[in-house]
Amino acid sequence: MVRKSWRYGVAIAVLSAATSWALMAAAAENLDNPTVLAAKPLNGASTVSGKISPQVGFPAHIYTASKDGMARVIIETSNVKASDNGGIAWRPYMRALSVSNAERNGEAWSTNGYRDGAKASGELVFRVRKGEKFTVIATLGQHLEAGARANANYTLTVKE
Amino acid sequence: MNTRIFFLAAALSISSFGSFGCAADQAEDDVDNSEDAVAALDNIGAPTDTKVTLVAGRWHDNTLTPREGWHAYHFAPVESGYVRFVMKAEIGHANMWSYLRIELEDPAKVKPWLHNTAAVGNTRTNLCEIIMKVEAGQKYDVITTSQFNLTNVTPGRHKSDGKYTVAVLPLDSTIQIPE
Repeated sequence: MVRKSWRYGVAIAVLSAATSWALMAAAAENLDNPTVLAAKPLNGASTVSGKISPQVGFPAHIYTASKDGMARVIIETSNVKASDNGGIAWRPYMRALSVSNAERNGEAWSTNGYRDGAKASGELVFRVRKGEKFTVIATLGQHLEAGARANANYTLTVKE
Repeated sequence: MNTRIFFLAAALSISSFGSFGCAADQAEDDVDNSEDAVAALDNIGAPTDTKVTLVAGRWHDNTLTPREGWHAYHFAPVESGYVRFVMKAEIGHANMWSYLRIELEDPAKVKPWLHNTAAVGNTRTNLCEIIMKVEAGQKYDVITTSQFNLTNVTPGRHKSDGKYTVAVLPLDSTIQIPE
């Protein structure tokens, strides 16, 4: 009996620590401190997909332009469960920040997109030069306006 | 991230201006800091309506001041398609860092807005450019300010004080939007 209580105690402590860690991680992560998913870059014309969640509310991907010209970055989001948010998609929010170089510094673009039922989309268009890098953050307006987090599927597509 | 460092540096610069750079304006600050003066300042949700409807291809010059830091223009495209919204201020200006925001006009006037796209300019050129698709028949608000006003933490007055120019421009033949 004593051994069983000890195990329960450890289990509760581990759960408590994990919950605290998750809450701290979620609190530390925001639009200015996104979760950069280095293993999922956007290299030239490309696509990545993932989930926006309470734990990872601001996933970010590094886009590297493969040629000079224009880049069109498209965000598409959808509800994880069709019934989420009363069946209406959470409004997406996308931000792209240029990584400073000799010609550009401080530039950023953002959009909150359009909703269509349980899906939503938005796009940003900007000039690029081959090799320039941009941090592209996919999140939800809900995360910025209400401070409450939600679940959504997202896809980022770069067209060059 | 270099960009983040720059934003932090900008925010720090604002604090510095507030502490030291504006000492000569202390009397004016005291007047401005009354609650009424603070309430009267324009802001992101209530910009000053310039009553100007932008015509594609024509530039419009204006000035941001500590009392008037957010300007709203109007644009009603006659054709659907991509256009360039451009704002430009003096390169190296101490407190003017171009910031542009395009809002789809909401007939119900309900916030948050139906749709908005915003951009912060390149500090090396102080040019801010938004390339986006507009729809004929829709109305758009074109809002100009400075990144320094956006991050201003000093109540009673805006940070930016300087000239800028703004325009809606058609895409020229050198710009191909990827399909």
